[in-house]
Amino acid sequence: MKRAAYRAETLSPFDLQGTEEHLSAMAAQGWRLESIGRFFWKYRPAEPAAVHYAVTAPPAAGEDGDLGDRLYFEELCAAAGWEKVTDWAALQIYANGAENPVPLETDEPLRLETIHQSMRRTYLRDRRNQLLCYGGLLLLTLGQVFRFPRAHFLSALGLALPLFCLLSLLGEAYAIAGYFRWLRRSRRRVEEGGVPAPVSRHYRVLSRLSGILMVLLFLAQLGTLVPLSRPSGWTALVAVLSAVCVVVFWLLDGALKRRGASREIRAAAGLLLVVLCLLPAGFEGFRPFEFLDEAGAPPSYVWNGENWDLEPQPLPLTVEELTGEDWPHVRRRTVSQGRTPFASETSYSEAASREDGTYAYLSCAVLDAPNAWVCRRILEDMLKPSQFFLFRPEEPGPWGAEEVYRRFYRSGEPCSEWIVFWPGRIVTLYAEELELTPERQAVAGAGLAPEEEPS
Amino acid sequence: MAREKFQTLTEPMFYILLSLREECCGADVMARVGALTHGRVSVGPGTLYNLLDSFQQAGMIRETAVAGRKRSYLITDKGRETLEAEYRRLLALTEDYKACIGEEDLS
Repeated sequence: MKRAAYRAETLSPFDLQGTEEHLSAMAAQGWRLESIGRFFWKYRPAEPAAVHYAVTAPPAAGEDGDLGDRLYFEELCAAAGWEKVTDWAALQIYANGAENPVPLETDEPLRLETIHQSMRRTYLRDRRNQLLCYGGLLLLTLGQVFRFPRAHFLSALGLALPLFCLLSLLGEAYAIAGYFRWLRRSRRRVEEGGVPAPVSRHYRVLSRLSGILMVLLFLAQLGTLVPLSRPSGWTALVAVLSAVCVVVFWLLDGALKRRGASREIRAAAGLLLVVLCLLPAGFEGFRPFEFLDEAGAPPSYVWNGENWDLEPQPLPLTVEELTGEDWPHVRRRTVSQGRTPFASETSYSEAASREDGTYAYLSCAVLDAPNAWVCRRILEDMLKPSQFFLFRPEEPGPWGAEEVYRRFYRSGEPCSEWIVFWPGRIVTLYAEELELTPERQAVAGAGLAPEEEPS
Repeated sequence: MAREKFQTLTEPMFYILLSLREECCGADVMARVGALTHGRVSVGPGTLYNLLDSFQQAGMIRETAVAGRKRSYLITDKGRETLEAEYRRLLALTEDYKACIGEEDLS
């Protein structure tokens, strides 16, 4: 015994002819449409048979109209042998197993105008709202990219969002334009005594492609939620949480729909779940998940009440190199802060201690941005003064760099932080308990400068 | 310029109004149209619903009874006038045709 089949159909609601032909073909293969959900169409197995289907716009019911009108409409259809199969947004699908039934609609101009009124109330209204929404989001996200170039050029999510908004905006515009093109062609055809026009083949193909694109973008966005520096435990956690959110979304939407919740309430519930789905990105510093970070920590030993590395990893610049002295206990970490085709940043940190308990801390974040324009925008972003701090230029000569800036409190007191700029590379260096003399600046510059391109 | 609504009637409109000279429900209208035209004209339920709704809004028919999901209608004086006007229009068409083609050619 075959079980129910679920298919992700990409038929447009105004693709009347395409939908009716598709459902008849499915019935001929032994699959009868049972219901249409948010994502999938459900088919039940049945004996293969010739079944006629009709897509129609019934009178409005519920908030927009009288339920009695809707029931009367269904009664009329039943009297003519047309059994209601399911609702499809504001439309309904009917089936008739008779050999040559009276068509559900026998006045094509009237049918077309009824469908158009229904599309205006639902399909076009939703498309228009989404178009405005994506347009606003595009402006907002582009504004954010220009306001905070460093954060966005380092984040695949930050760069993907404007792209996602742009593609969605174009998709909505294409859908609206496609609908009006179909309406114009259909009006011409029914005026000539024909039936509404079929939806063009490339519109269907593009609808399918846009659906696939949306899924890929969604998966890509989920991928960016996994911190680059985190071990596989994070990937699994984000995947599980996202899957749970999708299932909950599905169940919740179904339950709300059965209880007759309005579109606005269902949309709000959906939005809430999307936010929940994105929340794992904020879990990075959440204490209950620290065990996931510990899983990736290097082997260590305890000395003086602290953990120190048994096998310290190599860094581009170490306290030992900088001071020229021996530091027997070190703890080093490397964290990728972001990577996109435009920029990548890795931060290195080292805590070091001598046997007498003398302590030093050195950290540097190496940001590579091959494109000169992007690199300059990021540098400007990093040099923006804040409420308490500002950067002042210093002599770059000792560093062997093009530009060097040091961080100062607004009161004028210097901080132990420098931004060193080479074309294509920006390094933020922080040295605690270490005086950076010109000699040490030269050592730091030599260790952190980008490698010369072979001529 | 848009044509005034119901200035002329389509075949389904004409036969629906004709059927409603006697009170009947929607399902009966579909059957009567089929019988009146010997199956030449059929009115689908979707079309019938929309036309009944439009006729009612235009005051050409009125709802006479509602029993459960069943609704019955009857033509009004305005509906009769519209039907009569359409009849005269069709008659004028046939008279014009006869005048042009001639009785002999018709036979």
